[in-house]
Amino acid sequence: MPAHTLILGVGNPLYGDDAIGVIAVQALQQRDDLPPDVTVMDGGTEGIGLIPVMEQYQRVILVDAVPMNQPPGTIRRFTWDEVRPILHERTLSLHQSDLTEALVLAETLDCLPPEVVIFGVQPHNRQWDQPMSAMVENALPILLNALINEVRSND
Amino acid sequence: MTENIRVNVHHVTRVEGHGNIVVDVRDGTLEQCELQIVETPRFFEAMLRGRPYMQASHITSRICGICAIGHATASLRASEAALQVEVTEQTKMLRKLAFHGEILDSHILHVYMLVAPDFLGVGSVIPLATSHPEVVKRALRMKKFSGDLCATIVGRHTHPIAMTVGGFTHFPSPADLEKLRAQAEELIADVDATVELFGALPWPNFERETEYVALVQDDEYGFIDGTIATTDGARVALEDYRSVTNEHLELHATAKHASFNRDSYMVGALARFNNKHAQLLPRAKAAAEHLGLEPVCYNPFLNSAAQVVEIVHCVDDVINLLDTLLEQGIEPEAPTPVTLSPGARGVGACDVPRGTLFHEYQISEDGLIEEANCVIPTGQNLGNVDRDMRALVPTLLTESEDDIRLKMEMLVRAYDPCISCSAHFLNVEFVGK
Repeated sequence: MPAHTLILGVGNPLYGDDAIGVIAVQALQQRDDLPPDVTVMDGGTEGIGLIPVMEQYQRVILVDAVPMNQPPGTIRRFTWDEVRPILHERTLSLHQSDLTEALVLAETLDCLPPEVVIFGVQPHNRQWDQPMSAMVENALPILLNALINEVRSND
Repeated sequence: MTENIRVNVHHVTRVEGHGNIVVDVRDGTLEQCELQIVETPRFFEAMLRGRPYMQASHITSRICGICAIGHATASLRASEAALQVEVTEQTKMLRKLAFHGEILDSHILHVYMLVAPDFLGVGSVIPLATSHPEVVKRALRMKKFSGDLCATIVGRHTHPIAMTVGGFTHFPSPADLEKLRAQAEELIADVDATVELFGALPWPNFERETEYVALVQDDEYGFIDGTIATTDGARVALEDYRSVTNEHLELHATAKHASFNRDSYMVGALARFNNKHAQLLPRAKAAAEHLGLEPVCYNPFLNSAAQVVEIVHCVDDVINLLDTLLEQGIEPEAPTPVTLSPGARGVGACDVPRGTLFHEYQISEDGLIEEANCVIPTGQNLGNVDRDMRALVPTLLTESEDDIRLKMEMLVRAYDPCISCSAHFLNVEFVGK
């Protein structure tokens, strides 16, 4: 029986607002009010290496900076079924493949968890050597509440 | 016979970093044929100057997300050579385990995700997962093992944190080692299936004589330390590596090129196989035979086959090392102390997945790095890639432009280039059909 829920924050903390996924899981790891069947993990910039991790869970909640043409700090919740049709198949061109490729590959291999939810935060800057923008930093408490509500729903 | 061919692959895919392949044949004469390296230089050597030697392995591990343990190890060996540090047998065994983990991780990624799609008639690993799901699942299982091995020994999958000058700051428990031992045993069926898969692939038939350079060790087919050896018969001490690498600039590349007894040489799995196949562990030797590899092999496409042989060797050596460590038990040892002296210099060398890597540091009496030099495998291979391309193109002139492009890309990929590391990459440009 797979473990229940994984909250997986991804991104590169050195690239400005791309840090948000990692910052969010670091904040969640400090809290003691998460349901016991929830695991919180920093996925960093790992791509296909996350497939064997994700497949151990029933539900995976991904947190990442996602360019959505929204005002910076905007938080959007998507399910994988909503995202999948709008992706273009891309060739694996870098040694380090990205998260989207990992999700497509996991789905093709039929080992994607039954429930995949993505919390995307619109970044303002993703430049290396830049701190997180105030707009994205201000969205953090709202994001954490949304994540906690998510894990407490259909538990 | 085609008189004019112009190939221009702008940013070759399934390699790390950015490079272009440019081929220009006019009136049947090869006018231009080169691998252009367009990656921005990264100046790691300059970053090291003025920093404490203790930080060097952590900084230089960031040169590469694939060879992080390789860079860290070469860095530690350079500092240890400069600061007169002898490490213990236990440290050597733990470093070998982590190093094997990285060789496995990198070779598995390269042969399965980057090379296999060319032979199995698909554009990338995503369609490969549809056509050959069992192949991709096997690759992911094997990659997970190598990642777990690295994380257990050095604290993280990439960018090791437990390795330090003189030894280790963290030691795996017997239970950790037992778990790895069981995982490695389970992996043997996947290793055998890998040899079967790659043994059945139609490797392109192309040969060009060149010099192969690798580190050799007295008592094993190893990857850390040793003497520089070449298939032209040279033996050179690590301290004299500059007499082998002879780095120089070419107008079409932001990475330096290298040459020794000929106008270019090759490093990497095939170079290691060609220099020390006799020391492979028995199952790896049998795998080489199954894959049709015989030394000296002058077919660069078979570098990927040599990587498969090294996968077998490393898994078996991991099992041997784990057995030894489990039998002896692991002692938590303090790192060996250093001896600081003015202007101390040291060279560290390792055979990382893509070939021989050198780090050289000069360290002040205060423990600060005064000078650093890093010579990266992909840079050493670039001149050899150019010459292979020039020899390969004339044999392809009757083929379609798409086939020429594919063969050229496959050749460059066979070298498993890590262009961001060496520039400190790949597009094919055909010019004129």
